[in-house]
Amino acid sequence: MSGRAPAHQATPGPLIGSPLAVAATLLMALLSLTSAELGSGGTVFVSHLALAPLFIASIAERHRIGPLGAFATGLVVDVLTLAPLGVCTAGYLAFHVIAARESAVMRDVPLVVRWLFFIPLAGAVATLHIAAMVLVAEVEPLDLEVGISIAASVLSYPALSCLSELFARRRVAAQKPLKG
Amino acid sequence: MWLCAGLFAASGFLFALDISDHHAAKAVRQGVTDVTAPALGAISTTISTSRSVFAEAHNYANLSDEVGRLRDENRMLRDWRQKAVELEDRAERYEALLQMQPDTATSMIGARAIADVRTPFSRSIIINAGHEAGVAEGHAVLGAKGLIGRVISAGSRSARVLLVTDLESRIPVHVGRGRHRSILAGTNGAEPTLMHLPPGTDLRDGDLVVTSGEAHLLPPGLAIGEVRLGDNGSVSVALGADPSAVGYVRVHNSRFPVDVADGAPPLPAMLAESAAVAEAAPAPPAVTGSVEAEGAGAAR
Repeated sequence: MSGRAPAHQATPGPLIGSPLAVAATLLMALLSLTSAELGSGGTVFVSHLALAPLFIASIAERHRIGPLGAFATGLVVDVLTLAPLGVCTAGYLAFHVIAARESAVMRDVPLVVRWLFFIPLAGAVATLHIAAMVLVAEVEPLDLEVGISIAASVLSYPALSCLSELFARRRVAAQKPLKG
Repeated sequence: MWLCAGLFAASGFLFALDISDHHAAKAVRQGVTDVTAPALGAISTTISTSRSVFAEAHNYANLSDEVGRLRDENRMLRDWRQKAVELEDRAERYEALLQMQPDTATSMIGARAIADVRTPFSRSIIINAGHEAGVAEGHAVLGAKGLIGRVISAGSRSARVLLVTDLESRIPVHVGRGRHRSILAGTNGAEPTLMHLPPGTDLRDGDLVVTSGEAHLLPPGLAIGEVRLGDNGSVSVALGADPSAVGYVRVHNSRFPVDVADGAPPLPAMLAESAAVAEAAPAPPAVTGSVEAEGAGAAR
């Protein structure tokens, strides 16, 4: 990584972002609220499933997401999870700003390193959300549910990242014969 | 950079609005819910369709068993229908004898649950009916077998329903044949508990729990579930309608009658007062059955 230009100077991000990236991130935010139930009786809470696509779209070279896209996603999560307005909005925005600053570096490192970078960021957003709910909304969640929610949000990144890389490779493979 | 700073400032502004309970924050919430409602509806439809496809495939495998079960159920329901007709007839005659003021007509608004928002902090659903369909804050929401929650905010095309299982849900109820007063409190679990039961209350497994109508929160007499006594003396309620598995709901849209006794002095004092009134004026007794309350939402 030595000799590389500072990441935040490398690629100025878009304001809103690619419609595809914004749509995918918002879709995941909505999906996290509708697909809570798995099987009969088993329930998984994934309040911050949107963080994984947001991270991918924040560091991506193509189909990037912008601050407005991150802000909108946070607002949707705030509203639909009944969190105080502004908490996830600011959290998702900060998450995007930090991820976008390191985007040039993150693109070239292995998935495990990206994941290690993602975990504390996602954990911080989830903790901010939980703290706001406990302090402001005076709601006491069950410890196990909070643990499952954070774990599911964190674990969603590798799966989604592999999936997006698979799609990217297939797209490149499909474009190669045309270029040749 | 300036845009990010502006957006952070906007987040802070939104937070301040929400904390101060400003109506603009409520408008933002309902606006976002209304905007996302079509997408939520589409996702919900896709998920429920795929679930039903699997369920149908499973049903075809057990078709003969299913037919037998439905025949038995149909026979049982016919018996129940006959009993219901008899009871309705008897109730009408009793009401005529007592000269009871008839309840106002109740209308039900059908809606579909388009998002099941179960986070570690809340249990709520979003339905695809709002002001345009006649849904308003405070309306009771029923599943197939009883109450599942009440509307806490309504937009033009969508509304949010706080489920009875939510940690913040508190509903005045009557329990069992003795109509013991209690409060149904959500726990974020599958079965809410009963709070503030009078000491020494005799309860049994299976006692019915219905809304009491007190505090004008919900109409009285809506079925909620049955009492379930725990080994450690705890009293929970097995809900008739499972709020976690609702697809379609009915919104109870009515101006409901409120028992005069609710919120009035305790029974002996009230009886004494009635006796005094009767002695002073031996005219036909005043209506003590019910009075009309303003919309359910007004009393929240």
